[in-house]
Formats: sequence, structure tokens, C-alpha cells
Amino acid sequence: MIALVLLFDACSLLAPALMGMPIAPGGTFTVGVVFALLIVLAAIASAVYYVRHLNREDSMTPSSQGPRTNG
Amino acid sequence: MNSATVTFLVFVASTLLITHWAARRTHSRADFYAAGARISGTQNGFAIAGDAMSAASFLGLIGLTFEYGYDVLYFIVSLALSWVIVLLFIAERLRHLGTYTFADVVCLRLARGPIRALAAAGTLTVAIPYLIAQLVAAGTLVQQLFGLSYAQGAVLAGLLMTIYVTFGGMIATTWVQIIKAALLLGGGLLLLLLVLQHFDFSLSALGRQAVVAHPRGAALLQPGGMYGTDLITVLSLSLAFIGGTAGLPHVLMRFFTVPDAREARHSAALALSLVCGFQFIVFIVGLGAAALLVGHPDYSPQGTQIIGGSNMVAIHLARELGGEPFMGFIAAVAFATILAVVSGLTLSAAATVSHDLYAQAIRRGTGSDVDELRVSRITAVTLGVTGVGLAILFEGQNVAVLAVLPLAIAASSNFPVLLLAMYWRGLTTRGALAGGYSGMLVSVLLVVLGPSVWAGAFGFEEPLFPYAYPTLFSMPLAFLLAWHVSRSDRSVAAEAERAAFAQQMIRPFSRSPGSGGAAAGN
Repeated sequence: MIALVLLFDACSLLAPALMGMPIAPGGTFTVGVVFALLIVLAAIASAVYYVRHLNREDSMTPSSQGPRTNG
Repeated sequence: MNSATVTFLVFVASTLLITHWAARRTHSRADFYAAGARISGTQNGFAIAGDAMSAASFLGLIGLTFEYGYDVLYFIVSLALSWVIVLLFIAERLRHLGTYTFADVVCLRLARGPIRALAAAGTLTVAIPYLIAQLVAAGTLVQQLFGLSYAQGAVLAGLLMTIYVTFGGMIATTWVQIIKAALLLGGGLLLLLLVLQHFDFSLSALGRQAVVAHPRGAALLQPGGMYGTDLITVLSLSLAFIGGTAGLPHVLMRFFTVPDAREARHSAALALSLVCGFQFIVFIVGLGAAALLVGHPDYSPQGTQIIGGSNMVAIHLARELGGEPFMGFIAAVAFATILAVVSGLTLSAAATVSHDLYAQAIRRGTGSDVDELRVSRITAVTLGVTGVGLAILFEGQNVAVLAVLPLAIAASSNFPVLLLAMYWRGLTTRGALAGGYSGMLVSVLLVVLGPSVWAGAFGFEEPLFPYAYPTLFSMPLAFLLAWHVSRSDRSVAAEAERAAFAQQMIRPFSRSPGSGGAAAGN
């Protein structure tokens, strides 16, 4: 995820020229928005996977830890 | 009485009723600081998302998209990553190890007094500028919308936040935040639907219209409007979000309001989804504003010079698309947003003074609950009065200038110390103090010497530090110093602190249900 975000930053800074060639009008925006959307969706998907995975693990592992209250 | 006033009065009446209800349920410091750990994961997810969806991320980002377009995507992707960091590395372990404040976690195996003083300094340095920024925004909003003066607006916001925190503690603050998050998400979604409906649900038509209307033309949809090709500023911004979100004390404190680590995990994942979705809504609404408001005689007759400033873009757009009633609703929701966020900030600052400084560092855990709560309430009132006074003093200041500092400090001080304390066996008290204080001081210094304050606020021609955000320098410095000083610390105390790491890691799993907090004796 960190690599994706840094790649997004770097690609945006290098745009609109790609290897010295200008990108078609609107191309940078379309690619940028789709890239950003993919990062956001990847974040949400990884969060859902992580939580479900750990919840399943928790339910299969007998634990001495019970609910606790503060103080 | 206009629709904004009616909606706002309904919100205030409901929140005061909630505060009355919460006050009757607040009996102990666990209730006051952490809502007795009785908030569910879903409720907490909404409350955390509410903390993240501040006035800056609603009014501010819509205004920035309206003005600069593409570059707002830097904020969105960095924010998404920041919540992944919170979910994977912070939420669960913080809930396992802590009780009321993040200092409880850091000083589990480190020296109590100096570490709590560091945490308190970090919390107050983050909370106070953030509080002032929000109150300045509240004053401006009230001035524009409700026909009151700027000072009356700041006093009204300060008074309400003090009432919520002093009487209702975390229970009231959490429910105010949940209601506001639901209102803001609903309002944002409705605004998005109205924008899309205007363009027959065609994003390409929206983009084309924005390019035609905006003075920057096609450049609006290209990167570089805000930061040019400055890689250091963009990376610093990303780091400020990534580390800053995981170091904001009022966000961290929310993880102690749920009953266990599983609920903490659930709440972080829900907050991540809500915040990410909301940021995309804000981005499209901002582009819609660029398409509809630029050059509009009622809102922006001279290009992008919007009447009332760029923070008013969302309000004007609501009026354009939904008329006076919808504008009133969005304005009241924006004010509610400010109120909810300042309440959370005040509570976290009050908790660090009463719990970290008074009860743990000064009284060394010998004070009573009653004393601690009294100190907390006095602190909340003091912060309310001080915050309002400073907000009146800072009238007309750029809110963004005041809002940069908290994220940069949180990323450079609280985040490195908290992360290393939870995950690195080698961290010692000396290392934590060196890293935490150096990150804090360097980030404050570089913000002051940077373009926002040195050139923007003080009026000097050239800033002494050329970059808008200091995080690329201050955060690695904090990590590096914490690592180096800890590694070179050969004292007996340091050896004991390293040895205690293993015990810290197994401690939560061996604790009996309902037993005392981690820092009870620390």
C-alpha cells in the first residue's frame, strides 16, 4: 500500500509527460482517478479481509482473554 | 428564522438532551474518559469517522478541489493509507495495552513521569492549534450564516463544547460525533446526488463543464495546481497524513471506548471505509462546484474568487442545487461538524492534563476518581475559555495554517513514540524522549519557518524553510533519534525496560476479565 501511494505521487508528478511525450488531454485525470480509486478500494478490501480473517482466527482459538472494562 | 437556524437549533437541542442523559450515566473516570468501554464497534466506527471528517475535510477539501482539482487526490490516497496503518498497527494493540490515553501504552515499561509529560506536551501541542483552527472556522461560519458576530460564533461553539465535555464526558462526545457523522454522510451523499443529477449522472459531462468554466481550463484535471512538481512537499504531505492520523490523541482515545480489541479492529475498519467513501464524495462534489459556480454572478463573479472564501464553496453549491432549505441544512451540518470535533479535542486535552499529568505524574496514582474528574472538568472549562480567547485573537487568520501544525506534530512526535513502544523491544525512556521531543520541536520550528507561517502569516518575502510540510524531515529524525539513543543507552534502567517488553506483550492475554487498566499502577 505504501508503495502504491508513493507510486501514485511519483506518477502524478511526472505527468502529463510520459518519457517526454505528452499524454492525451484528460488522460492523466482518467488514469489518476482510476489509480486513486484502486488504492482506496484496496485499502477497504484489505481492511475487510484482515478483520474477517482475524475474527475467524479468534473464534477458532480458545482464549483466556475476556471482555474488559477500563479503570 | 431561516432554515439554517432551525436545523442548527434542532441539532443543539438534541445534543443537549444527549448530554443530560450522558451526565446521568457518568459516574467514574472510566465513564468520563472512555464511556465505560460500552460503545460498540459499529458506533465507535461512526464516531472515529466523525472525528476524521472534520470541517477541514468537508468544507476545506471541497474548496481545494474547486480551486486546484486533481491535486486533492494526494490527500485522498494518503488518508486511505493512514487508516490502513491505524487498523493494522495501532487499533488492536492500543486497545490491548491502554486504558484512557495513548501515554498509558507508552509508559507501560518506560519511566512514568517524563513519558507522561512528553505525551501531555504532544497532546496539547496537537490539540490547541487544532482547537483554535476549528473555533476560527466556527466564528466565520456563524458570521456568514446566522447573522451573529464572529466573536459570538466562537463563544457559542466554545460554550457548547465545554458543556458537552464537562457534563457528558466521553459518552456525550461520542454520541454527538455519531449523530454528526450520520448527518454529514447523509448531507454529502445528497449533495453528490444533486450534482450528478444536474449532469444526467455523466461524470465526463461534469468534467467537460468544469474544464470549460474554470480559468485553469484543462489544467484543472492535471496534477500540479497546488504543489507544482515539488516531490518533497507531496511526500511530506503523504507522510503527515499517514503518521498524523495514527498520532492524533482524540482519535487514539476512541479505541478505549470499546469493550475489547476485536471491537477496536471492527471500528477502525468501518471508519476506514466511511472516511474513504466520504473523501471521494467530497472530490466529485468539488469538481461539480467548479463546473457550476465558477463565474456565477451570485457566488463567484470573478473566476474562482468565491464570495465568503473557499470554505464557503460547499454552502454555495448546496444553495445552487437545493435552494435555501438545503443550504441551511448543509450549513448547520458544517457547524455541527465543528462542534463535534472540538468536543473530542477538548476531551483528549482534558484527559491528558488530569490523567497523565495530575493523577499519574504528579499524584503518582494516589489521587481519587473524584479529584481526577474535578481536574478534568476544570481543564475542559479552562480550555474552552482559552480556546475562545485565542480564536478571537486569531480572527481572519488562514485556518489551513493552523491546521497544518497538528498533523505534522502528531506524525513526528506521538506516532513514532507510540509505534516504537508497542513494537520495538529496544526502545528506552531516553530514546523515546529524544525522538518525541526532537520530532515535536523540529516540526513546530519548520512549520514556523515555512511558507505558511513565515511568509503567509508573518509577511516575510521568502520563507526560511522552503517546503509547506516538515514531515519528511521531522518524522524520520524522530525515529532515527529514538533508535540511536535507545541503542546507545547502556544504563541499568534501559536494560530493565528492554526486558519488560516480553512481559508487556503477554500481559493483556493473561489479564482476567474486568481487571484494572494497564496503567493503573504505572
